[in-house]
Amino acid sequence: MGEQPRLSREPLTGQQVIEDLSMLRGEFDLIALSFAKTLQMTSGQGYKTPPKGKVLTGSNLVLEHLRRIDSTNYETGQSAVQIAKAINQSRQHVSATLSNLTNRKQVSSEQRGTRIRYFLSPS
Amino acid sequence: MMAQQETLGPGIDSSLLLRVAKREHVKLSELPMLLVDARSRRLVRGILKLQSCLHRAYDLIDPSISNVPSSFTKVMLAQANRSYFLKVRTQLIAELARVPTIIQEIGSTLLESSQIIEEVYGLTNVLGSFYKNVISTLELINTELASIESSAFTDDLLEHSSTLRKLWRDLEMQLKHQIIAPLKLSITERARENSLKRIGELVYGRATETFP
Repeated sequence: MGEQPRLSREPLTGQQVIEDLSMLRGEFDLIALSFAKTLQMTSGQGYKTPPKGKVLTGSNLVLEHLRRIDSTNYETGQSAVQIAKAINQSRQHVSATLSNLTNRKQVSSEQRGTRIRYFLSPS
Repeated sequence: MMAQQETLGPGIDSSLLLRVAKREHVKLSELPMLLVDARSRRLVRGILKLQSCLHRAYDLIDPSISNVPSSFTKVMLAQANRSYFLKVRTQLIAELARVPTIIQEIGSTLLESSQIIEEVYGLTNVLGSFYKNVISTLELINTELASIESSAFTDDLLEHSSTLRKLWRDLEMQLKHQIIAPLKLSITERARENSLKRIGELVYGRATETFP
């Protein structure tokens, strides 16, 4: 049937939110998720950020994703499109975020032919 | 497949599966047989109840009028409104009182979903504020209804009648666009996924049986 309810009341981190939402598979949970998103949009209420956890900014989402897939070189890296798809953000937003992160030396990029892949900087 | 019209399980025929899969018009009452979770089916029943309640209330508040005589004056119109609302008052109040109960039912079913949805999207708060809005609008409608009963002046009667109808249309629009339409869309999409799976099982299941 659906997911078991979370019993602990510990605050969720951005990482947990992404993982838990992507774990939803049950038919009813997906109906409720879709409805909750629409209702929040139509009632004019913003996205509820997780309390006391990591702030869900674009940079955090990208960095968390790269850490999760243990991306440290070209082979384990991903393109901007792949990252955007994985974290459910627009390609333009992710490209801009990756550009900022590259400037801040938190993410490195390597181009081979026409393919550019992004991965965590060794430092 | 369309021509076969065979029964694919209890009460499901191929035309329904295909209509849902092609995103063609499907009645909400046809969807429960394509849903596997009992809570989803309960949700559909709740929406159907809300829809029928809104239809009945709509017929009472804004009935279709034909053959209005051209000699109908403002005073006659005001009195017609007053006598009409006095006549349907009890029925109307009973129908409107069902709306919050049905919303409660739908809400409690939705809150049985995964805790992560509650944590991230604050479903309880959003549904709670929506419920409060509905209650306050219903209170205003009841106030207008009471004002119509107690008014004697033409202008007052016409003003209260129009305010009542406006409040009702606002409430109906809110319920249709914020509750019924998104839930229906979401349920239809899940039913579509299920019907695609079913079609896949049927097609490939038979293919392997015929061509081992």
